[in-house]
Amino acid sequence: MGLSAKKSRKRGKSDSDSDDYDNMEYEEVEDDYDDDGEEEDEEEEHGEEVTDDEDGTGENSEWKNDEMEQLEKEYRDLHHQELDTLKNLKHHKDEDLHKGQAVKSQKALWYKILELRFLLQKPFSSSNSLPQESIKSLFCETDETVRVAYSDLLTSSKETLDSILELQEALFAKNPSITQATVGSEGLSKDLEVSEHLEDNLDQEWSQISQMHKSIASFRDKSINKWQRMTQVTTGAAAIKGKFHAFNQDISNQVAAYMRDPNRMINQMRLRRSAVNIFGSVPEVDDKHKEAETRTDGDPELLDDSEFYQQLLKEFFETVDPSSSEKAFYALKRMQPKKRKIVDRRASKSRKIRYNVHEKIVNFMAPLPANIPPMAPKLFENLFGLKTERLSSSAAAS
Amino acid sequence: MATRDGGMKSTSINGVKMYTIASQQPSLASWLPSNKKQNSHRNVKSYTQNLQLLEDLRFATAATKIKATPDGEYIIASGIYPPQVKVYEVRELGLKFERHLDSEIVDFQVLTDDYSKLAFLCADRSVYLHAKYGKHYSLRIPRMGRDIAYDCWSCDLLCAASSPDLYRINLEQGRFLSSLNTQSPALNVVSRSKIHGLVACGGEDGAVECFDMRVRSSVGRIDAVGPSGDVDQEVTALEFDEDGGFLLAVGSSAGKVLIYDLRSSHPVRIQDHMYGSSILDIKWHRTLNYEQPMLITSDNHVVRIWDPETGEGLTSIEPTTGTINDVCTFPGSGLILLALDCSQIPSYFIPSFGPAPKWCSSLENFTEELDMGGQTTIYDHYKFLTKEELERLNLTNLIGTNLLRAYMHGFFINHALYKKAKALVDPFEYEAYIEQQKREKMEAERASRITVRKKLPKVNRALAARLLETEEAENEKRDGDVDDGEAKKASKKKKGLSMQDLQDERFKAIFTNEEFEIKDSSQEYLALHPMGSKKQTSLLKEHFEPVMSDDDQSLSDSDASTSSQDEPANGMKDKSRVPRMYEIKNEQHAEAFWSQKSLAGEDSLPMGDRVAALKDNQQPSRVPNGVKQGPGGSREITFSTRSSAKYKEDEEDKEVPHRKKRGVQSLGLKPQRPVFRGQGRGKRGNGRRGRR
Repeated sequence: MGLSAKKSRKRGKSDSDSDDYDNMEYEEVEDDYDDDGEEEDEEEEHGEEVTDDEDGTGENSEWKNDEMEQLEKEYRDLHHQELDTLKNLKHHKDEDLHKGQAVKSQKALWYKILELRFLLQKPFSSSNSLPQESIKSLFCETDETVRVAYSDLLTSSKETLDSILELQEALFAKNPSITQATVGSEGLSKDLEVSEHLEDNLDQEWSQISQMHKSIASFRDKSINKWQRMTQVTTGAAAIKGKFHAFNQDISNQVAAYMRDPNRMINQMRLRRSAVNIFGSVPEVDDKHKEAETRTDGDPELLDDSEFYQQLLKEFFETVDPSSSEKAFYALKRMQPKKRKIVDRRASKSRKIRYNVHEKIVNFMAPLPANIPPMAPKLFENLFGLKTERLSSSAAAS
Repeated sequence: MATRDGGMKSTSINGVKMYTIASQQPSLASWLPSNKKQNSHRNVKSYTQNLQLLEDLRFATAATKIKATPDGEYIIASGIYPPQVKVYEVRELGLKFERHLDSEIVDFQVLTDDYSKLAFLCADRSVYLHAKYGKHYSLRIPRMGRDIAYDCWSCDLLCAASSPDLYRINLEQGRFLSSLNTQSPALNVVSRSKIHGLVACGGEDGAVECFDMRVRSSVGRIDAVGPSGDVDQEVTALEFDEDGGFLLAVGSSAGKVLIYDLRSSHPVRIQDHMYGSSILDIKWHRTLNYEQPMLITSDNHVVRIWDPETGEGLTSIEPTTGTINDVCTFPGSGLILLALDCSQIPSYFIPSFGPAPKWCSSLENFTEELDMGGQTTIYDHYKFLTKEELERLNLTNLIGTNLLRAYMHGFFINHALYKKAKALVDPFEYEAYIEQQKREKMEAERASRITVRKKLPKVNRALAARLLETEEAENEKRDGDVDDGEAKKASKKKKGLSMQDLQDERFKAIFTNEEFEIKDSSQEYLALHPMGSKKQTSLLKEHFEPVMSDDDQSLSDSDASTSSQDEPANGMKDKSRVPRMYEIKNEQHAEAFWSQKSLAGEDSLPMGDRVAALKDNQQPSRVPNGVKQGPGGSREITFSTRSSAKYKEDEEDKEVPHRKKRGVQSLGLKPQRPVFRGQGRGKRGNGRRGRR
């Protein structure tokens, strides 16, 4: 019972690392499902087993993506450990230099993996809109090119999965600590027995993936806990052990506690058919049929891990470009000076003359007839005798 | 002096009578009910006796402007506080209505013949237009307004403000028109001619700029205040002549009025108010009593009425209750109302200036009654002083105050004050008198100190001079030789001689009677005094040994033995005795001379010099021998002495004391013998010195 619980938790975690290839596997699973339906008519026990296998296959598909990352890490770790052992035996002085180089190479690999993951996000999200089983068969029958494309897709995904599995096996062979860990586990034998009884190849493949994942689990937990303790010792966090009991536990324990109820998280990740514009989902009858089949709100075949994807993006950007964080954004906003409007401030309180007509004082007064005496024009021409003086001065000058 | 009769006060200046009508009604508390007010009036006798020109002609605090409407039916006055305007109807002799405004009234204009259209320029830059029923409209000008004028031909309301622009508000179109631009930094006053419509602006820089409203441009500009000799003064009043239209009166901030003819840029006349405060208002006033219009100019202290052609002053009004803010006149009449910086608005009636307006013709009856009685001028107790006199009295700082009243070319001052000032100036004269006394006393003392020398007598001046010199010498010796008794004795003897010579009646004849005059040219005198003087000089020159001669004399005089200690004392005696011999006995004098010669020559000089000295001695010896005894006697004696002198020396040396004694005795008896003995003594002296 305990072992089964652990298996389910691990599978739940692996769901977060699913890819479009995993979705393709889901489609294959659907084909198997039809066959299983026939078997259900015959025997109830076989039906139960089939459901369990379906869950395992889904988790295995997600597990593939995680395996890629894990493989890279383990490969690097193995290489690092080998180098360490060699350096320790041969040259102690060069240990630090080699460690630094190893760290650089690990970072480069990590960034490459992230890049791959970011690139796969778009096709993965768009894969949700692919037609599902019944409609898919219709498309394949009507058009030959569609069937050929589907077959190519399936073959390529199988090849990719096989190559990853081979890589993982090679890493296992190199790293003896993993083999030691696997020796202790007894559950593997049971799984193997179960896999022998399975008839379908797909089921065999999923079982292989889950076995590989289980074999690595113990090694993974040990290495993570080890590094956590080393970090605590160096930073002096051990002194705070008495407080914050939840955070002072090992990371593996924290993850296990979080994974006690994987159903909640899985349900959040599932999407409804109405939310996604599935290609060829026009018939209502099909929708009703599917809805009846699905026991939960979301469709189990439609997965959305955008939250996980966003988290990866944030961490990536923060490491590469610190200025892209929110704080920097708000700081920039404050620095921008405020622009003031250009306003004529003398226009108020009649400090500027406005030549508007004031209706109330129109015709307030009437002009009187001008009675200018005849001598006025001459007087105004030579007012104060200024012109006469100018003439006299000019005459004197000449 | 001023006389009060029925509330009307009359004064006379230069024979021109002026009657003052001022409401002296006591002010009542505003919180009293009207009934009590009326009752309280009856108790005051002055109330019933007071004469009021117009009822309620007053403001709570002060009156700022006062004008009469062109039709002469209404008087409009503005004042504070609160800012208000009152309209009086002269036909009813009372207040018609009053209106309160939002801010103080700087100036106002009557736009029509009656009170129906008014324009107020207020302190908050507002221009309020009032109609018969009340406030009609209000506009605001950009800057603080200072003066307002109305052009009835173009309906332009012209506002002079603290800006170079003259703002125009057209009351026919009902809007602002473009301003008239001047070159002055700010405008103080604006005035318009009623004859030809010329608009003149007075600026802060002392310039007057004229505008023709038909052209709306500057027609002419002059520096109006410069000719008065004041620098940096403003134009504060402007007024055009209302008759010919050719004259323009300009008031400056220095208290001067300049009259310009529009055809010339030089003032026709410059009149000074003498108070130094800015001119507030100018009015050309024409009455039937004068052919020419009279100028009524006012500043803070005084309102002057004078003839612009001659500059002669008719009279002046100086209210004592407050400073003058505005003046109101009625065309063709001699009544003047003043807006003062107090609650009252006094009225002044000048019969010789013009008649009373028809609405108060009763004033003339009162004035005629007052003329019956004799009146004295108000300036009987005043003293007229010119500026120079003021400077002497140190009262120039009072110019501009009520104590000094400017009049013509000087000032009127109260006689009592004048006396006090004059008394204050007196201490300076007293001090001068004291100084003179001191000088006289000092001069008297100086005169007493000066010593006048005694005049020498005509007869025997040389002798008197010698005596005086000897006295002075004796005085000096007394100071020097106090311990020596002998010196004192000698000085006493000489004193007696000198005093006797000068004061004693027995010897005064020497210096008065001509018969006693000493003749230097006489043979007797020459034989003694000049000879002695000459010989002495010659002896001194040749021998240079006066002391030796002294020793010989001392030996001859006293029988006591000689010693080194006694020598200086003997010298003194000899010196003192020489004058005796000189004065009393000629024989002794001769002996002294002879002895001196021989001794000095033989001892001091070498053989060659001694021989020369002997020769010199022989020559003078021959002369007196020849002269005295005769040619035959002198010849024999001289030859024998040459050869025998040597031999006789030895003989005479042995018998020296005896012969000396005989010689002295014989000198008194026989004159010839001393000659021979004198020679012998000289030789003996030489021998003794040789022995030593």
